[in-house]
Amino acid sequence: MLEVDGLTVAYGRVEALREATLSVGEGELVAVVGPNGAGKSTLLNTVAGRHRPRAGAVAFDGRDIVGAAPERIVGFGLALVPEGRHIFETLSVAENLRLGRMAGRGRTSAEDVRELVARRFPVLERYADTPAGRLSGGEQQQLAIARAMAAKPRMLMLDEPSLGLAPLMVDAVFELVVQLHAEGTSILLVEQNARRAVSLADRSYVLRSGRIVREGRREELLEDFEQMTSAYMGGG
Amino acid sequence: MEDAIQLLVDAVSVGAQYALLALGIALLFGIMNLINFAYGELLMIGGYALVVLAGMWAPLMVLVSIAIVVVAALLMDRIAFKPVRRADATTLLVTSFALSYLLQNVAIMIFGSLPETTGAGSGLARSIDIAGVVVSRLDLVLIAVAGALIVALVLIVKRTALGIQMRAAAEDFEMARLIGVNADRIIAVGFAMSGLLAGVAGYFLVAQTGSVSPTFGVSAVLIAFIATIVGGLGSLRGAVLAGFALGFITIAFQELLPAGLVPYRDAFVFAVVLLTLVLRPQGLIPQTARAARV
Repeated sequence: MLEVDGLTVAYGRVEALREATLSVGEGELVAVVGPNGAGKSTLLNTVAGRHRPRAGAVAFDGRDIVGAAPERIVGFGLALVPEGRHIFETLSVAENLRLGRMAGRGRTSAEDVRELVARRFPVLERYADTPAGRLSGGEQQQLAIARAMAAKPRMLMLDEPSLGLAPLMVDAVFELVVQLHAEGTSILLVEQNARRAVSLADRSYVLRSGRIVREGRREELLEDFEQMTSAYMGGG
Repeated sequence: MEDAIQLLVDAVSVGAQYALLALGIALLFGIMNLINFAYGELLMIGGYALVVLAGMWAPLMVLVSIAIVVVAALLMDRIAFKPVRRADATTLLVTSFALSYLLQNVAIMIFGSLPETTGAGSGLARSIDIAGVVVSRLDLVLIAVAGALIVALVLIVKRTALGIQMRAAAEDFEMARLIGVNADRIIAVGFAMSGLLAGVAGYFLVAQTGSVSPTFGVSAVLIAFIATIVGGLGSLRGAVLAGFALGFITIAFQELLPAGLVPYRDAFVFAVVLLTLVLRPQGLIPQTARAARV
């Protein structure tokens, strides 16, 4: 569904991502783990159209999306929930969700979104008219994911969804990821919380200093988690 | 009593004019961090459009001149600002200054530097007598039109899908794009609305002064800019509020100052502005969510 081939991204002369190749299949949950500064966010942001790569190809559903504007890419059904949530704080919760629905270009009705919220994001229901900036961090993260899901994307990219959340909220967010995956959404999850992400994902990639240094299925990676830990902890 | 009502009409009329001007600036600042000093030249373009169109049936002339200003605003975006859209706020500001001087000089080349007189709006010049209160038709029309425009704008921004997209873009432009807001379209809408406001405000300015010159918009845009800052940069409500406040203060000084000091009225107005900013540096309605970006 998503094919990233030899993707190289540079900020000035610094290469943040070097010839990264990875794929996410239909309905698959794939994690990308690695230390801070490894290029995880760069990877997602480039796929979402925020950076133009120096080299490489990105195909979504067989369509080349390199160089397409972010608003077009989300229109294709590939949604990014960026690091730090970036909900619209001055807008109400309902308005945030309505924006998400508009991104779906008619794929979802207002009724679909209401039902989605009731089923998967019940904490948001009673806050419809509240400015989103008043929600707690965990609620804001749920809103950020709900906003992306309101467009009924075919694939969801999550950048550090657990960052800065209280432990209970971290559990809730990971539980949400599992549920969305179980419902058939393809997910590309970027996390510093490596062990947790790897144990949820069907497959994982380990990114270090801009390069993919390891790839494997859940069992393989969990088996040699000790080595993987040294791969992503050591050196840097 | 009649005097008080006349003064009130004056104050509301001046305030409405300032509010229209300030909204045009605040709108674009909100969406793209642009303080468009070339906004004054939109007023000027509207003014010269009225000069050129003289002789046309008045209502049609007004509509055509406003349409010309809207098109000019869209061209400004496309030609001058789009190429530097990703640059920082300083670059945008300098671009708007350059554009402003360029357009003033183009106007000098075409029309000369002396003011052109025009009869546009003279149909509104007569005063009418309502139960002993004499007010100018121009003031009443200005108040009605500005009021309607402001209410319409508020409803669009608050209620419609377009308005939600505009507010989202104003708060976090990058994220708005990630959630499907078309950057080109939303900025073009902002410029078009700004042009509409400039077209209307320009018409009333011409109707009041009866002439247009290449620097016609300069002092108006200064007032608009001040109202935008006092209101809290980027806040539409703040811009309207500050526009009306400036209008009221201006008329109040006009009336209350001793005759010898009236020529220095604007100095007193600006002293109040300074004092306001000392007391409320973020403006009347601070935009807390965006503070970090400015």
